[in-house]
Amino acid sequence: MDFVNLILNLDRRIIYTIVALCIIFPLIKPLSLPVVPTPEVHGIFDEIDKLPVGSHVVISGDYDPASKPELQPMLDALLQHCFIKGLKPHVLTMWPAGPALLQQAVERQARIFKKESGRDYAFLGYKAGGFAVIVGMVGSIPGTFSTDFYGVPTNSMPIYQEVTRIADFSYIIDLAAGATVETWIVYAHQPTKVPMGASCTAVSAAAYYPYYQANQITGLAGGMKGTAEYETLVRLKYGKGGPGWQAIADQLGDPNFDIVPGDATKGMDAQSAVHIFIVIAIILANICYFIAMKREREERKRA
Amino acid sequence: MLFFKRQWPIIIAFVMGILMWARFYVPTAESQTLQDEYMRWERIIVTFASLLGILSLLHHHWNKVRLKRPGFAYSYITIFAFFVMALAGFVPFPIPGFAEAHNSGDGFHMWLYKYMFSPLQATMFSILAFYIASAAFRAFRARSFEATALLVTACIMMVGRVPIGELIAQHSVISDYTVLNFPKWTEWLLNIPNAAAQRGILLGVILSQIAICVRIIFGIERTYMGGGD
Repeated sequence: MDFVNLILNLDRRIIYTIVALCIIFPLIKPLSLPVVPTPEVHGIFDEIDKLPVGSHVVISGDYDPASKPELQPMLDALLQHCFIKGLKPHVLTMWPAGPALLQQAVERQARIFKKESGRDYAFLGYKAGGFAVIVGMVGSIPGTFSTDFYGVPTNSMPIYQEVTRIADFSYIIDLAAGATVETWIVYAHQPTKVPMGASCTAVSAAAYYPYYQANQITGLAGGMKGTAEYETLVRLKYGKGGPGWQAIADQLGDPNFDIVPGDATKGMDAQSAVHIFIVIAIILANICYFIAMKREREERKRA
Repeated sequence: MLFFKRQWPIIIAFVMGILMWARFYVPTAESQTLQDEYMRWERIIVTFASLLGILSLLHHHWNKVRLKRPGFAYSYITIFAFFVMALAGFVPFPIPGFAEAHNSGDGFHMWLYKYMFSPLQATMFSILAFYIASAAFRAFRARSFEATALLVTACIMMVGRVPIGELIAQHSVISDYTVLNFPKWTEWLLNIPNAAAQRGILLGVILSQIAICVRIIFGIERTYMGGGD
């Protein structure tokens, strides 16, 4: 079998093995490729960064473990950003398999930044109903969520003495693995005009550009790349050596405080290697395909 | 009885459809109360719908097992997993050998979620990367103009949306749109042709949704009741 036929009839197990190696090696030995933030991700970061201390932010984590690698690091980065800035995030989900994932991120970041549930942040958990829940929150959050994830009545929480409905918030961000961004835009952003951002899986990012261009969302973080960009922005500003580092290190009383590259930034090297492999494989397969076609035509002419 | 099966749902759809549509044009406190009440009902109905979903799932798999249809063994696993996860929710404390082994006070349900459900679902999704790589290698051929356009776009997007694309651009850029500035081309593709196409699709979808709503409100579209026109 010559090279052309070998490529065109390549066993799929060989492709699987190369893909696996492309993922494993960069994770073991990071290449530290540059992550350059795009204007879309700046649109979220800048909007949150300019909010005054004590502002409230809605973070809706509408995803499940299937989209964890793309969206969970974004939740971590957003919570880091909010806690560093002294903002008060209200975290909830419209997906039944989401609360446990959100709980892990919320409790992890609250522990690091020494924040207290019900006072510095709220974790509302899951509520069935989709758009009806959002419409309910536009009217009254304690009316829609009578208790938080831990069963504490929302009416008794100090955080809900400051805000009671969506219009009282300063920013909304939806981390979506499905089509919840549109629902948040239609039922929360449009009637209240509270600025909104979106973070979504890479596969659905293209669908949200019309909303971004129409300024219905201030920014868009698509897939693991968008998340890595957000992590980079937070790290550059508030990590060691960044302009905002000293203030947060003083506030936490920890001179060794630093923001390390998150999971999405670490995953970018592996994603780069796999993408490059797929592109090379497609080009190679096409070259071989055209050579095979040419040969076939010549053989037909000879016959 | 036929009235409650055929006409009654259409009457409810008509009255509620017209009422909720008209409500948007009546910005009064009563109108807001009506909406709040409606949304409370909506949430209750959705909760009952999940119960219906559970019963439907169990009915489907139980029938598969009963009739020994091909692949019925998987239905045993589904039914077993369903009951284990549901019952574990009633065990809000660590079970020796499970949760406590990881110093977690979350209970057996959370242990199942963290160490079984979450990795299984993530694995299912991550397998896509392997299938896509193999499928792209085998099926992505520049056979026609449309296929070539798709192929070139896909390659630009794949390189432009990862840091290696940035690295190539940093080492090769003379102007903003040189051939190798993949991130710029990606940005252009997403913001111009993609946004234009998405906007068109979106408008089409919304217009069809409006048409379907009108058909449902006026009882022309009745497939939601389980039958044909």
